[in-house]
Amino acid sequence: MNRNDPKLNGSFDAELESLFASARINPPEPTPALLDRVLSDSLRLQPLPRRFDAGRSPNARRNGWRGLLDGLGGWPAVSGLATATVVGIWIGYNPPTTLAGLADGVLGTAFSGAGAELDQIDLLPSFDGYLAEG
Amino acid sequence: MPYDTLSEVSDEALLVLYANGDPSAARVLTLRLTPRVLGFAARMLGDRALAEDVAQEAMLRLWRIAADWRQDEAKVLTWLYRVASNLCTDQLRRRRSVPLESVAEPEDGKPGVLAGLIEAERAAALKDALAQLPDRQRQSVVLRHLEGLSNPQIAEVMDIGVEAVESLTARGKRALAAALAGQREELGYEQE
Repeated sequence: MNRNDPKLNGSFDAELESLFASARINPPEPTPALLDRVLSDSLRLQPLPRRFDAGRSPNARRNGWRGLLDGLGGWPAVSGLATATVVGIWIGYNPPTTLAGLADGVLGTAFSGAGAELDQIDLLPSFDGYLAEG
Repeated sequence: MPYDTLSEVSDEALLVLYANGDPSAARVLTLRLTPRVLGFAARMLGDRALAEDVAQEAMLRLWRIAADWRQDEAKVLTWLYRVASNLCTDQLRRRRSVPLESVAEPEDGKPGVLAGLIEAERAAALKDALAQLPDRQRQSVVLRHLEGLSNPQIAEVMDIGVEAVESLTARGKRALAAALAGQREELGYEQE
């Protein structure tokens, strides 16, 4: 600010501030009609209240088959499960001979034998047995 | 949310409430911000009807942006002043000569008839002098001395540096002083 300007000396600066003060005290007030228009605009354009809509919530999307798929871990997990299921069915339909022998050994001998007692079943055979068989 | 409890809530929080569908927030924001925008526009344009159009349009843009408002971006009032500034600039470009009628009349019986007349004359003189300023100077003077914004806030509104704001305001005040110099006696300053 140029303080050497005679028109803007301390006195006139104060007078200017006095003018500003008067203007601040009496600002242009909005008419009720203007406020009505602005309020009307605001309500017309206001976004709808946010609701927890069951049809749109993230939880809702997890129900049904989609939820089951998500729960299992997605398509990669489901493909793994499908493969295991097919292999299981195939083994049940046409079991390998070694598997049949093992099953007979465990189930047929242990549980179908007339004289077998539960305390005679050795579910964890000693290591010596494996060593003897090579 | 009850209306009374919103009076202390910030503009930014109110805008979030508005965007969430709270009608009370719409009312509070309307009553709080419309006078500010209207006052600024009226002083920038010197035309009450145009100022009302600008105020309504600026508020309309606020309602439209509410859902996308980012709280860390800016103050609502600063943003609103910036929008109103641009709208005023557009209006001024369309109509370079500002008519000087429709001065806001002071309310009857406030500081006495004579004092009221002087107040009215002062308001009219300030309005006339403001109208003679270049747009940017008028904008900075109005925002600083009539709307009460700080220089950094004005810098944000006008998208310039703080030093530029200070320069514009100082030049605006000098121009105002020059414009009002011949009316000191009429405005009752010689006797004070």
